[in-house]
Amino acid sequence: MNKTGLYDSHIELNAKMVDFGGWSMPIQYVSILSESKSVRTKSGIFDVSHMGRIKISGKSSSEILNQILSVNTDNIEIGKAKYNLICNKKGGIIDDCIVYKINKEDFLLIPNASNTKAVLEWIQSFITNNSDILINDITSNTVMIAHQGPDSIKSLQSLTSAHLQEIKPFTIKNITLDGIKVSIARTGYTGEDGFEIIAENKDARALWGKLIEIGSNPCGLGSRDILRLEASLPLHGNEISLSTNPYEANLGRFVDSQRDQYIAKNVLTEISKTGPKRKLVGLQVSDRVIPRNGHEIHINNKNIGYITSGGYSSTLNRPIAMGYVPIEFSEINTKLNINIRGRFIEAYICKIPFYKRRKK
Amino acid sequence: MNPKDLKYSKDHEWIKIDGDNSAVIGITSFATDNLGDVVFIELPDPGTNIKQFEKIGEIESVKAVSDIFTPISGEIVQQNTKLINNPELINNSPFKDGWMFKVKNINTTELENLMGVDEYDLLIKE
Repeated sequence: MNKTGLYDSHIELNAKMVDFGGWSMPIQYVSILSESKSVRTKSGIFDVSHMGRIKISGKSSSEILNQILSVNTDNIEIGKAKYNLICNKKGGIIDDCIVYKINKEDFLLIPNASNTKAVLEWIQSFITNNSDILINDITSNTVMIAHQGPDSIKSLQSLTSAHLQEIKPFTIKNITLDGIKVSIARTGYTGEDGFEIIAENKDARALWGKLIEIGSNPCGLGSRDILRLEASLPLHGNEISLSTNPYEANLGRFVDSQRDQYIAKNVLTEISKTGPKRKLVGLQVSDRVIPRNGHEIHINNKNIGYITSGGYSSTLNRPIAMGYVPIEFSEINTKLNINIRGRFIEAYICKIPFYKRRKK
Repeated sequence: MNPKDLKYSKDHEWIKIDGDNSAVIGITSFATDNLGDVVFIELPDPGTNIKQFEKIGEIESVKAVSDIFTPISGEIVQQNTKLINNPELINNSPFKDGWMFKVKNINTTELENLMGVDEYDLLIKE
């Protein structure tokens, strides 16, 4: 199993380690609920080094990425990033990822841990003999730490002379934190303000230690999952997969298919015209039981859909869930039942996201 | 750290004899540590007759759902309603305030099917 550059730090902190996409990762240090709360109220740090970091450079880089990504890289400013989807010819989602435009011909792609190999292979399949492109997978030489929470910017500022406030959302910059060279981006997966920091393996443990010293609470992947669910951010393998398209997952706004070279242009243009047949919705249940991935959704004793993710929200103090239902049953307040281990629990469709931070 | 005056099952329940043919039942700190934050506990109503080692309820943590088994036969006389309303009690105080239910009409010979503290300590060390 792969270990991140912070593995020893997790063991020292007595973390519970689990296998996640082939990586040994901390699911929790103390408690999932207390860790999620720390991110909503102060600031937390997550080791997200299991996610891929793929550098793509060369004259053909933008031309090849424009065939693959759901966004047009020509429309991204240098130093900026965009969330997007990597779809196959049928419109199925191979992965969702963030693409950073470091320079005109330099990009950084952040795929999910379990999809990094598939994304690399997909990119390779577009390379021809005439392509001028260099692909450099720096995942195992670097770490990535997510620093998230309302106090994130204030506490990180104490470690650098760079003006963090000037690093706007979805912007990346090279700075030093306590003398350590890092690339820092104003992105995250928790619904809070914060940063994702890439550093070299040799500096990983010193940086992690420093972040704890300034008051950041170590948080495991368990709290990361509930935080992203509260913010209704999709997880590949749950809300999105090869058998879902971006429109049914409410991700149509991240698709710009008006490029002739785009591989999924035809299929996605068609779906955007006709509209999706089903829709990802938020669900509120009447009980304390938690709907979980795979549970059936019923209306009038008929199985009409399924739960993609469910969990216990420490922010709202109740279970929350998302799932797919046919478009004709997708209106807010629609009543339905969820089959939780043979018990049909009453629920209704509610607005998502479940949690939205107050903008300062 | 597992109390000496309790008996233990391999499913990580503890039982404490509480007066004549009555007992209090809970789960061990080893179990709660593995479950993580508990958010929901479902137990049979008072009056229900239960049989040793059968599944009688469910305990749900943020991570997953697990079955609750009873370490002894008898009739449920009381649920810990404080626990039902504050499931985190079981994480904070598994051997005391986080007890789950009380049973009466137990057959004390069934205690022979359970472990003493030394044997249970060994089990969880493995």
